[in-house]
Amino acid sequence: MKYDTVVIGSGITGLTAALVLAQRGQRVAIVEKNRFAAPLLRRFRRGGVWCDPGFHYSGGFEPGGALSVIFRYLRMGDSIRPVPMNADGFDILRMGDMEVSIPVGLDRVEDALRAAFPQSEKAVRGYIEKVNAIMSLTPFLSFDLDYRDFSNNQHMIDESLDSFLDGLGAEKNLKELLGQYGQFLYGVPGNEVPFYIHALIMGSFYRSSQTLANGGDELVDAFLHRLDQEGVVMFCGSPVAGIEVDNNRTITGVKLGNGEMLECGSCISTIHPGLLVDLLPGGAVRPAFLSRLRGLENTEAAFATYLEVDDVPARLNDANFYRMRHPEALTHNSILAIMMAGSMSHGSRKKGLCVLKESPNSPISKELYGTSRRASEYVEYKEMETANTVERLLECYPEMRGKIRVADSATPHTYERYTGTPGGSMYGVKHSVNQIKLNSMTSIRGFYLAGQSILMPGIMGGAVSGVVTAANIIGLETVWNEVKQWRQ
Amino acid sequence: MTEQEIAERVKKIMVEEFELKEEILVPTASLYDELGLDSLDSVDLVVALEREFSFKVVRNLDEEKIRAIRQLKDIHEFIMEKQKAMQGEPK
Repeated sequence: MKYDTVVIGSGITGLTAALVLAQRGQRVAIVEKNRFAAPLLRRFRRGGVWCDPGFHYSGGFEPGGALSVIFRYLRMGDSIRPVPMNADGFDILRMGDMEVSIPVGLDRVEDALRAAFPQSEKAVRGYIEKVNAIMSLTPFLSFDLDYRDFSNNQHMIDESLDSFLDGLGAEKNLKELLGQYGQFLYGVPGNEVPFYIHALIMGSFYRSSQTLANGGDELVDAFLHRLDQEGVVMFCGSPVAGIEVDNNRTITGVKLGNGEMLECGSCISTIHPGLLVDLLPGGAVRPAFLSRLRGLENTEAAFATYLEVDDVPARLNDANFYRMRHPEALTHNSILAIMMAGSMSHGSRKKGLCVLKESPNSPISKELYGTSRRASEYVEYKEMETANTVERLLECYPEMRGKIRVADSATPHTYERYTGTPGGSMYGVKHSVNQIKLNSMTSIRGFYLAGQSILMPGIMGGAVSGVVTAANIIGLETVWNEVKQWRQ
Repeated sequence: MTEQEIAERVKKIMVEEFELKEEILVPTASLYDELGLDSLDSVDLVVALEREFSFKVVRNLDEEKIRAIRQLKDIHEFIMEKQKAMQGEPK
């Protein structure tokens, strides 16, 4: 059987792209190396609490927002019910002794930042203005645009967040706070992230941050139901062994680990682009492209700890708490993020909490982790990092001492195992002023790259990348005009 | 680095990374018509040059200059210019 399109990877981008194509009548297959679809989006249960490794909250769920429009267009609108977070402060940011609550709405974010940084009043205004301006020029963040606006990249300036804020005369701590906050949500420090990436991601959170009652499961269930309705074939437990390309540098198929060959007219790869080095046949692309894939710099990984708690501090019920690195502090040099308890407790008698910690360097080699997951060095490392996370949490919330039990934790190795992303990197390839963006098109006809490494990190970036890449195959004008009809 | 040294290193990239034959790599060779590079290759080329010569292309600053590159010798000139600019930068 020949497929119109084979999609590699069943994360948010792969699921979205496959459904867009199938809705337009294409015969589509998705291949996934894990035994089940969307392993990062899927929750798992430990000790009676739900653990959500990938999805915690997102922008774009408000009516007319990127995700709600995309999901309505994909006829999933009824199955996805976003839960608003605390409108007066969905993210509580603490840096040193300072605490800033980020409310919903760009105007209110401006007020909150001005109150916290009175000396940088003008800089804050300039910052919010520019975030707004960039969003209004970007398809999906604005549905007023024409399909031709996709090629307008004048606002995608290669200036870093730090340099932009310097230009506005922002004080050091404002720069530090926005830089670290963003870094946790897209994986790139303020001196490297292009300002427009910061603006698009943070702006969508500022507009409206919401979570889902059933966490990432809600997305996966809705997708699998719709993909089944549209006749998309899912191959799980099927790692890709190779991409098949003919002498004219045109895609012909995707070969699976079990030797099975899926012939196809086009293929969208949503896996980390660096993994393609081992999958592309010799001569299909120039060595320069492979060198580039090998040299890609990735975002940092995170260490996740899942806790069962007797009682959740009231404000963590509908807000996240970020403990930033203090610019002058020598210890605690990693950002800690406590994800709101809401979705982890839903439909469960026990209350749970997920704490994420930046985790740049794991001392465990890939080989050691690969040989035996229970190698004592690995277990030791995992226990130590978990204990450290708990200690950091208790520093922020001493009242929780004695009232928490560790349900499980996920190391960068765990993330790498399930996602394939080198080093378990949270957001894939770095979008950095020091790294030229990869193109979705490749020199192999019919072979496209998509996902957070290509377009933009996060759930929203991944979903938008899925739609845009599918649209590049079947016609951007048609798809965009269809999508736009679902904005109301 | 002299223009000669730059030319040698660019040639090496063209042979190893773009699988081009050394004999066609004359300074006046047109990248697109004679060497057969396309727009996707040109981005990979910029990345390869960045790595080889340890500079960073700044889109707003360099875009026009890169777009004006037609022949192999234009690359050499671009690199010379980048290096001059880098020497002027405070360390």
